[in-house]
Amino acid sequence: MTLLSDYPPHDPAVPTAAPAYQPHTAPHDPTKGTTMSNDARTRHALSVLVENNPGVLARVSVLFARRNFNIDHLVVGPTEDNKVSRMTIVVNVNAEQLHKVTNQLDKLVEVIHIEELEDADAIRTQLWQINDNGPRPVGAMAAAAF
Amino acid sequence: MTTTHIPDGATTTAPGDTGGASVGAELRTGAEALVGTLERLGVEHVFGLPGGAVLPLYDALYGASVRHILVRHEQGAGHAAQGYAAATGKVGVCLATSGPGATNLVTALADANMDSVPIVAITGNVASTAIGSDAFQEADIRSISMPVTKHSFLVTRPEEIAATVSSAFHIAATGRPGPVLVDVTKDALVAAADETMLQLPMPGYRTPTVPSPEAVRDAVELMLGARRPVLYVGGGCLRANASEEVRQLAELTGIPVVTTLMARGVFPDSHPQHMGMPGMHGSVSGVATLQKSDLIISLGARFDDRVTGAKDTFAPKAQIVHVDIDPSEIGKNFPTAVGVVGDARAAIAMLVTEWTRRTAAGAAPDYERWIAKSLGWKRRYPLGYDAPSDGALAPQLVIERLGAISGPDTIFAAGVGQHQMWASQFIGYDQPRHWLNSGGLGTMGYAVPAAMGAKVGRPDATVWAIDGDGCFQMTNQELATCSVEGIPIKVAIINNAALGMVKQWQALFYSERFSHSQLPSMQVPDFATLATAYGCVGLRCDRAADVDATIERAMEVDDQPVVVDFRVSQDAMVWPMVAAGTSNDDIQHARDVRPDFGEDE
Ligand SMILES: Cc1ncc(C[n+]2csc(CCOP(=O)(O)OP(=O)(O)O)c2C)c(N)n1
Ligand SMILES: [Mg+2]
Repeated sequence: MTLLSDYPPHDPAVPTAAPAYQPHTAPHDPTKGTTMSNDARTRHALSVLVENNPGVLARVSVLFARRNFNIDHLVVGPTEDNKVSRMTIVVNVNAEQLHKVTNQLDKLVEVIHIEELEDADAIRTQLWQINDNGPRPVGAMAAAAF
Repeated sequence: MTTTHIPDGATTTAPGDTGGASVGAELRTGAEALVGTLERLGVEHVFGLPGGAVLPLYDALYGASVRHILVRHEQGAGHAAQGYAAATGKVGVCLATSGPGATNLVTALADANMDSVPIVAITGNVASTAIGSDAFQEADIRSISMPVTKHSFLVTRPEEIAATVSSAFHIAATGRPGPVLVDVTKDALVAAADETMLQLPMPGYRTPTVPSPEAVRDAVELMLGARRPVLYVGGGCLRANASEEVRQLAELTGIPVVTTLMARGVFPDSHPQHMGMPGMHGSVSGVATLQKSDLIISLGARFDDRVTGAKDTFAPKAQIVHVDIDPSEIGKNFPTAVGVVGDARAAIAMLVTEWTRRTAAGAAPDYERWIAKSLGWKRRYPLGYDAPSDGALAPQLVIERLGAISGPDTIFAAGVGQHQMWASQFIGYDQPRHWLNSGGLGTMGYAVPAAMGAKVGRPDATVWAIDGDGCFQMTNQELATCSVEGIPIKVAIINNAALGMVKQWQALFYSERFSHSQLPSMQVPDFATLATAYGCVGLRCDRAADVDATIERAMEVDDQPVVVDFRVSQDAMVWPMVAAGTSNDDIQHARDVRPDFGEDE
């Protein structure tokens, strides 16, 4: 009998560190077969007031996944009205995609109000600082692939 | 150590208990409040199947004025609700238990979501105290259904049941219609319900306002300046009951019309301005009129890939005026010159008024050459079919005769596949709500239950399901429902012993390597015998000479469902065709026959 790989498997070698995080995504290569313009992507921060219902976070993230938009940062917290929560969502999209994603978000019954915030880069920097703690991810994916 | 008792959600109420009935006091139970709300909203029919979590609800339904129709599979309940809604314009309702009952509804929810069909699905769930414990028959259907519904609710408190159910109906029916799910936990159904709250606040749900007059003005400006305009009429005009307005606008302007698969019947097929259906299996004139236009006036349509073909070559010279009730549709697939947000009926009426005002003031557009050109395509490339090479019965003939013999008031519900396309091509639809099909999701198994729902909603109409031998096997259990509940639908199985549409693609694009697309179903099961077993009349026909007599025989039966097994050619193909991913310019009228569109202007 031939084994496809050695058994027991070797201990995985320590993977090399992943390249450092690049805050700016590489320029988007225009999708074929679409007549839509593909101007440069930029960072946008949305402040979204939603009903404070169970499942509302799932609904918003399902929408992003379903419509093939990526979320850079997402923060959810209470507001002074306990029936309303605020989501701050940072996305990296072009103007047209931004229009599309806000249009789709706006259709959600539990989304009350959407506003684009000024200075998305500063907001992203703050969110990055809040979120950038705990164990380092370096090599985690590579190790799992062994 | 104390053990926490987690009640088994599905069996909170012991047998012999009061179940869903009120326990003395003034307050009704949640279940009674739910049924009472359905009655208050004027619901007459519900399609469903009981189970542990909805026992209280079924107890409350016992003796209620709402007629509950017991289906044999929850998917059937969902499609029946769709067929009911599509045929009547009312909200269709289906009902299922927790877990598997609820998950069985998912296909119908997704289908209704794609085709904007107003339905409300009510499901039971385990007791709120058991949620998250992996209780028996627990499924998070609120989350599962999120991407395939307009909205989904989970109700755990009895006092929110009435308000949530009526809000669900409001959401389903207003704006762009769609499916709404209401999942109610069993403890909420059993508890006493304060019914003072009648609607949820829903501050984020806005129904569209009147179309902007500026947008209407700009749209008409473009229409007046265009040389080759086309009215691209979609399913939104059907849902908005706008067929009268579409006709007015068409006749007033003289602009050629195409109707999508979802909109068959919104504008009469027999109307001289009708150029046919655009899209993958549209008519040559329908495809060309859209493709060669310089202005597309889209009325409740959504530029689906099956209509546009390869996007980068779609209607290269055309600007777009897009009328839609859903703002997110405007500009979704193509850049739009003018977007008119609003109900199709209201928007088209405003276009008519503005057009009348402008032409009275002297505007005089000239579309004559363009109209002549479209009519030329229509004349030169009519729909047709060849006699099958194997000498067998032509499926198109069967469908053509069905349309002719059963008459213009018949409602047709199609499955998905070749037979669906032939049914859209070879029957003339002159009225809206007489053609039901699964356009967006393309769900095999839609036809029989949808026909059942349509017949319940329109008991005086003749309802034919035109189904494939493959599709029929997916939901034919609802024939039992039809027999037992007295719902005499008629089913024509276009039996080509194949998953014909798949086979056609394999013939054209996979060198006739017919991997898993041929069914030995000429015999297994024998559909006529199966029909008899279900308490239906079963007929069979395999010769052109017998087609008329068989259809007439089926038309005579009106107290029982009828199933006709039409054994047709295995080789017939659907033409014309724009192959997936290719340009509308490359439409084939028949195999390897490309129409000559003449010089572009
Ligand atoms: C639920 C589902 N599964 C698979 C498909 C893919 N599919 C599209 S058409 C088709 C063949 C349908 O066969 P049949 O009902 O016999 O119709 P025909 O094309 O032969 O007329 C299949 C398998 C589908 N649309 N839906
Ligand atoms: Mg078939």
